[in-house]
Amino acid sequence: MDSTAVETTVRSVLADQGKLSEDAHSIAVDADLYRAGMTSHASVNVMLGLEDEFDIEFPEERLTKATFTSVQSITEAVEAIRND
Amino acid sequence: MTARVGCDLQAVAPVAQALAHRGRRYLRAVCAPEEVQDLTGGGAGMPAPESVAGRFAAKEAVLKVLRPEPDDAVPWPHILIRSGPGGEPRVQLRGTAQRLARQAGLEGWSVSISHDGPFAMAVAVATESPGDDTDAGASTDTELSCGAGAAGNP
Repeated sequence: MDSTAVETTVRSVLADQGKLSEDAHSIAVDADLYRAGMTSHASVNVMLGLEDEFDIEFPEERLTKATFTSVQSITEAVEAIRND
Repeated sequence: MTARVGCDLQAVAPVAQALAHRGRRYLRAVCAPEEVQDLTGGGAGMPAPESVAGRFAAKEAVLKVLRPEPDDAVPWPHILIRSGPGGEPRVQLRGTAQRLARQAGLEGWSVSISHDGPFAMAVAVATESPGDDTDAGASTDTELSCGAGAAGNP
């Protein structure tokens, strides 16, 4: 799965779980998801959704606000975990 | 001595949805094993969504008092909301949460949780004394247990 495919899946998970006030499929890659309406609780469901979609497990050190701040930061984290 | 206050409002519905959809896996993502034990009584059933929503609000309120940086990893299970002898909520911190509290000299934690219909809310308070950075690298195996003098769950 290349980076574009990862980002597309990340956007799908955000659309399902992120409770965003904007369209997750079109929101800017670096837009602040918390400013776009994602709550802390929603970010938990985003994390679990990503784990399901990519068959990964987020290590504790990745459970930061920065990791879930944007489509870009999430995509980078998923790719890093997949490559570990 | 300065007080730090955090508060949070949590809708019950998304918690109920997460419990129904992901069950124990969701619980483990937000609660430490001891909290799951508290919530379920050790049984296999799911806890009441209102109870989990209240705890999550309390965890978020405590997190706001801790004021982590964006790169600080504070897993929700490292902020424990336990029940005291009288049923009052009590705060226990582990890992980065414990480190942040020590660095800021936070002590005397109190947390209060309330529920009304579709919402749960919580307020957390701690007193801030001069920081102690010497504990920044302390082991995360130990716990900081903080008594709560709050009114507790209604």
